[in-house]
Amino acid sequence: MTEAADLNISNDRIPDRKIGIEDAGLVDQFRRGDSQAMERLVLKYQNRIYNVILKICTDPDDAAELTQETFVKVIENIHKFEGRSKFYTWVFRVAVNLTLNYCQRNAKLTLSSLDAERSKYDSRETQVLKEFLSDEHSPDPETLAQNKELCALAVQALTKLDDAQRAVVVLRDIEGMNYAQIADVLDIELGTVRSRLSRARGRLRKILEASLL
Amino acid sequence: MKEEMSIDELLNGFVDGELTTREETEVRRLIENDPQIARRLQQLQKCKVLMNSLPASKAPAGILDGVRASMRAGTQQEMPQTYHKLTTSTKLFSRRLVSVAAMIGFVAVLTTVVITLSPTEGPDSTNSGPFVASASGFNGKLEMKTADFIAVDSFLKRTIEDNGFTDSLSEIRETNRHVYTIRCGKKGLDSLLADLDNIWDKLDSAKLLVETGEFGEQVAINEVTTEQISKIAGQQSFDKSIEVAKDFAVLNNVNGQLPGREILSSIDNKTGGLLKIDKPFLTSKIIEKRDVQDDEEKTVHLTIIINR
Repeated sequence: MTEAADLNISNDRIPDRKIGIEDAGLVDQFRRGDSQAMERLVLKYQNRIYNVILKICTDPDDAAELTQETFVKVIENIHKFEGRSKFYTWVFRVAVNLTLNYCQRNAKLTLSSLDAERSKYDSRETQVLKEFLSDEHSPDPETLAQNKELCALAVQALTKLDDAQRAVVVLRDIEGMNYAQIADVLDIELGTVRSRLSRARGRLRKILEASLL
Repeated sequence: MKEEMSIDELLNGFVDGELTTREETEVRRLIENDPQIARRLQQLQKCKVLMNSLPASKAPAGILDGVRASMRAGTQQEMPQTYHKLTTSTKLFSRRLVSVAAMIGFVAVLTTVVITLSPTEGPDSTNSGPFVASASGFNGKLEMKTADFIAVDSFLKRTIEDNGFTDSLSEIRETNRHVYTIRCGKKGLDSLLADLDNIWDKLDSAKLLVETGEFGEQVAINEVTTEQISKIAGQQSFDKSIEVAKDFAVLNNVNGQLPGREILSSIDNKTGGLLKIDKPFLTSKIIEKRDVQDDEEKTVHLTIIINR
């Protein structure tokens, strides 16, 4: 087996089952009139929701507003939550739908051609990226997180994806959802998640490579 | 191409641990026999690690407060009578007394003063957004300032959507200022104002600028209330609207200078103008909000600006 195949990336940030049980209890309490139960849910999820929204819409002020709006919508529609999916995925569905609608309305992020990627990066960033891509060793996410140039490049590359592709990458690689959860959140087929993620990562790779030309 | 796509999907599934045992064995066989596929897999893994390493951003403080504020406003909207129930009869009586006295004062002022209208502001002295003139109907710009920007903006946006104005909506969003321009009918406007009334106490100031139809001339109504906006826009003719707007401009300016505001404020335990003695409730609140403007002519052109 190659080194690449050995690379083990842990994305299971979410102890899903535990969250599901706790959330169901809090949702129940809220429905019986305990508003503090919902406050606990807001506090529990606000950072993750904000992070996902910010990575999709890229503007901190808009992300803050959309995060707030997400929870307002969740509270307003809590009677529609039937528990068929987990509360966790339901909240993310609301958040991602709001964000994608917002992006569509504002069309703030426009796709640029790969050629346009050239000359956007300075030589230091290009060098960092070249080293990263040519390094045959397994990269360590913790170490990478310290590398500001590389993080900045990753964010820029992410913004070049179209909204739907960006959403699927953010949910998988940043929020750490599995394919079934992503399908649930985006209300798409499992096969569509596979193909969309595949295309998104393919494009990301091309964007990063184009910046080295 | 299709085969290439499916290999890519397989590799992605492998990287994500989403394959069955049989599919995994297949991928392992592929990468052992084809260095190109092995390299492709490594690129995908790197791409994934790169995204995974992006630092998580924390939500700014105040999200929960904003949600609470929105929900409070929503509850008031659903139960308008609650506000009155909470007010004690003593307070009401005192306030009505002050109200009557104040109104007598106003009438006296208004009858003696020839309505030389308040100086209007320049074409766009505040430089705060588009102001498109229309040949007929009401054409106004409502400028609101609030410290609770996120909550008020979020509420306003939702209210605009709830009232079905999305089709005619245009938005400009800047860091400290959001501008919404809508076209609607008079009933639609009343419905919107009835909703906005719920967040009026969160505003630091509210000023209405009404286009007079003469180039560059506007009537400015400081400390305007939702009720006043409704009355101005609800007039039968354009000229009448301007006339009423001018009256309110004078009234509010006089109101701002009359003694008694402090007394009223202390009774109310909050700041407020004499015209805001009782929370205005529009009769149009009973109108079904959604699609209320479908069957009426869209003669109202309103630009709403929220400043931080």
